[in-house]
Amino acid sequence: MGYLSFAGTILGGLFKKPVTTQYPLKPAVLPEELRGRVLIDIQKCISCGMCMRKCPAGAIVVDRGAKSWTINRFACVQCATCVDNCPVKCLRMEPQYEAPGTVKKAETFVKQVPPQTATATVTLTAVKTTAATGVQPPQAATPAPAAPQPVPPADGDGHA
Amino acid sequence: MGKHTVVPFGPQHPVLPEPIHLDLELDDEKVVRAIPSIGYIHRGLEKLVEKREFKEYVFIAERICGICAFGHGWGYCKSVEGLMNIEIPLRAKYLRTIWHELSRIHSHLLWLGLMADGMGFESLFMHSWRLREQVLDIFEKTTGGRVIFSACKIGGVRRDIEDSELHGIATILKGMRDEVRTITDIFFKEPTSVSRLKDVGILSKEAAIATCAVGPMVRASGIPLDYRVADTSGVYRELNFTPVSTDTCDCYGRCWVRVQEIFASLDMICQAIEKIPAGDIAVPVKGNPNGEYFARLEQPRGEAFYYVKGNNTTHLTRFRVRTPTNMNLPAMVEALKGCDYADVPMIVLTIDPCISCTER
Amino acid sequence: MSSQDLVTIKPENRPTDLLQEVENLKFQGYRFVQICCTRVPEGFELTYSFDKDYELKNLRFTLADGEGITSITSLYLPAFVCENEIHDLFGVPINHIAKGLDFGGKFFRLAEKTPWHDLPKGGAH
Repeated sequence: MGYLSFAGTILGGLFKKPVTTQYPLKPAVLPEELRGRVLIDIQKCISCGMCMRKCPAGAIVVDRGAKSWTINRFACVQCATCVDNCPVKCLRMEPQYEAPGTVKKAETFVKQVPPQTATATVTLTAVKTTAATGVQPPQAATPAPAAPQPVPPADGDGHA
Repeated sequence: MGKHTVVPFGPQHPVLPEPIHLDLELDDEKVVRAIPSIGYIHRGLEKLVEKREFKEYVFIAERICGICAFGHGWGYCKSVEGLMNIEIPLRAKYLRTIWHELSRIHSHLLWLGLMADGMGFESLFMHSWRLREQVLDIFEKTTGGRVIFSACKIGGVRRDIEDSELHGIATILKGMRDEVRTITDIFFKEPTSVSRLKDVGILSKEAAIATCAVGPMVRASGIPLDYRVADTSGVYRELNFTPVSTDTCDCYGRCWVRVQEIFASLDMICQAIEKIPAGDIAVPVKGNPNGEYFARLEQPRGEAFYYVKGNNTTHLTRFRVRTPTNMNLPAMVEALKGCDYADVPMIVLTIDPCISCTER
Repeated sequence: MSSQDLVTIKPENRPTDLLQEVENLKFQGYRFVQICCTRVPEGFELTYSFDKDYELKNLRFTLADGEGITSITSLYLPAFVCENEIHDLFGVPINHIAKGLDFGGKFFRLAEKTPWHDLPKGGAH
């Protein structure tokens, strides 16, 4: 009977659980592979700028000098091109959409440079200068991250 | 000679999924003529091809339309691959076909929901879209997006689907068959639905040929025109595929054709999952496109045509998309002649209008 | 796959030859597919595509800037969509579009007239 063709679905609907989730009161169940938004592990970033060049929307700005990585969240189209092209794999897609807002914002991440690195640079320069003049350095320092301490003179090979 | 009125229909109307304007010239309650007017959603996407490199443009091409997103991405990649003589791996062809047929299922279920909504049958609209959610969940798990997949790239596809996941998809689709059968049967059995669809929007075989209609519009008028028969960029030759057609020439026939295509696609995907070979999913692309190429694809709404032209730089000079709704608009105008005023929403929806594709 | 069959119509034979060729194709049972317009330095390059049994046949010619062409809506009525689009976006004059289907530049609602008329700056050329 044609008139009752929908009756089965209606009766089933009365007794079955709802297929919808009470979002946003209950959290949404999102799969891991979802392209939600881009996150960066800034300490691994080498500021090569590859993601900036490949981004089709022009949402990423990489400042090599300042070691910063800025993304315009509202220009990003979540295509994951930056994730695919990063040579050190410091970018990943998080399965969580960016929250809506009233202002188009950009997020900046700045790489923290550890303080010992500066001292090591100074030590290397000292070694180079003395090597050029051919004079044995009184302190032939090795470029170690630890604080500099007097080391025995080099034995003529192996430094710089 | 009755009362002559001109009623503006659209661009905003509860039954219209996308903005199109029709000036309906009425003689009492019968439509004498309909004059279409588009342009509310023109974004100039074809012009953007000059400003984006050809490898990046695929992300714009797939955003031409939300429903046929994968089709446009594949069509663009296919035309550039033809231009640059790139042969993609067989596994990539299988994956593209699987995603495209899933796209067809989701598009037809969406359309069925819109037809039910156009009739006023809200709960059937909700049930059709409930079934569609299962397909969208598959997309989300395999490509990372529900609507815009970003899965195609020039040279192949960007993501692989593992075999265990493919078998999971086959199980979900086999479980969907009975539910889809139950819901779609209601369109053909429920008397109120049948009376809204039967003998409404007649497009005779001669009129279908004269208006050069494509897709289910023409397949319901007795002409089995389906580009998948000749398409070598997918794997349709290896799958059991025959075009579905009927000769009722009305909205009922078009609804029937689309429902049969859903079942045909469910079968084809399960076959493709069994036959898919192991291998690479992409080949590297070197050099720049030079020359011109024409490509075609059978999208859910009909045959889509792509033309690319390159001049050996990283930017293409021209990318032209002729979408199926572009060709079905004259067929819709023809079908609207002589119909009742109350049948106008049914006839507008029966071409499956995708105006964002038409205007790009 | 699509055949790259291209027939170029010489400039001196254009209006008569175009209608003649299209009439031949219609008589042979070809289906109209699309009209594509590309801006080239010499003017506008028009490509008409027709299909029969999944094989494409294309007609190609170049129009100088300001030169017009006759509409093929007398033979293939659905061409009015592509022809109005070319007229609105590129500014190519198309004469004798079928009665009631010539939208006079108002088919597409655009902020500026014929936005694609000029040669593209930078990028492509």
